Amino acid sequence: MRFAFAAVSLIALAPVCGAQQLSPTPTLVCASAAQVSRIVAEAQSRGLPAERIVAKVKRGLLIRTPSPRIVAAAQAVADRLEVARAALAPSPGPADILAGEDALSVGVRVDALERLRAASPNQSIAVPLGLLTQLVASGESEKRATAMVTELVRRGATSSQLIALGNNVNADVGRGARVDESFDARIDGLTAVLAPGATGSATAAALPTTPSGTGPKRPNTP
Amino acid sequence: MIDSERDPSVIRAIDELRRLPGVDRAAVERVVAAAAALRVTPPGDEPFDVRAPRPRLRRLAGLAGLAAAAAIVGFVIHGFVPAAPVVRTSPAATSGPATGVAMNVSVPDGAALPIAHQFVLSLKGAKRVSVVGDFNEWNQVSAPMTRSADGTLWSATIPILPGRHMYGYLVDDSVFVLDPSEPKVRDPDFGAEGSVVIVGRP
Repeated sequence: MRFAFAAVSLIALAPVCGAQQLSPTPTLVCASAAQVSRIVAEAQSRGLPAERIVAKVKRGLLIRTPSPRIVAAAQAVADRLEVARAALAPSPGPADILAGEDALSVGVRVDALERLRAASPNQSIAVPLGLLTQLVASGESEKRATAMVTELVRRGATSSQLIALGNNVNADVGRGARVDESFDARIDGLTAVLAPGATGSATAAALPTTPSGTGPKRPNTP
Repeated sequence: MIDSERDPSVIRAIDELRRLPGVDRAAVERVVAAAAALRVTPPGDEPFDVRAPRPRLRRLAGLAGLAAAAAIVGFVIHGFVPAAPVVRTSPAATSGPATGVAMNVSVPDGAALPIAHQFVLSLKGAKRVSVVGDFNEWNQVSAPMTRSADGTLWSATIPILPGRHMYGYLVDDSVFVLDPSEPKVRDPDFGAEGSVVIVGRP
């Protein structure tokens, strides 16, 4: 059903090839529309959530991106969906695959997805992946953010707790704080309310002991 | 027979329900099990003292029974399909800056089913506003927002899969506006900015 919807949505992207373009709504040039159709069809045939590709194309059209760049973006999304699904095996749902694709798009590595999946093999990790993605997109070190979020998932942090953590960090960053400093401060509040054993020091022990990227300045508490 | 059951319309409803064909027992059991799981028991061992004369409670119980029966029949006949949010556009006036907030209004549990998420934007002077994002394929007509009575707030509630989503608001079909209450991020493929929200279950 979802795939059918994606296919129908794709029709709107294609111009009437050979006819004069009168519609103010931006569309792909014919060659690009054919390429995008092929990319979407291939993704659908592989069982990937192709609506993400359609969304990317429509986003490109909305901001009047040149057609070749839209095609390239569509192919990139399709490739990331495939990689994300493999990394989140054995049977990730659409939400997880989409979240994995999003994470890969901002530079999260494949092994980070695999680690998160290993930390929660039987539940959706769309929200932890979303938090990880947002942290990395905000400038947090990918390595450190992965370690922290994975540890929080292992210790049973709920979706609402992770979302609250992300919102708090976002708010701090919006007020001018550095993302790593905000993450340090805010994660203490979360680890304090997690299940026994989820202490700040235990979480810190899961972190790299040496700073990496823009992030880690957290002391390695004994 | 309680008072409410003497009402002609209620009697007709009962008759209609009695005439319906047999229901799917498995479906009924699922509904009953779900209702039992959600039942709130007040402090103490007895949920209700059924011996005490409580005409008002009994009337309500009768109506609730009818409602539950109708719901069961509805589930069986039509299946359970979450209703799409009803949103309308309204004309607006004046002008002013945009402020907004995105609130997660969902509570139910589940694996990766869509979650109803409310988007709220404070914006004066617009005639139409819609939410566009990766969750609706940036479709400018699929999620029109409803204007509040005083003309300052626009809102729409949309079912969204759990996770992180990029979005924005399309004002009067032509102007793309970010959500001032949420962080903005750059689309890695196109470089354009969008607001971002993480949606999940409590």
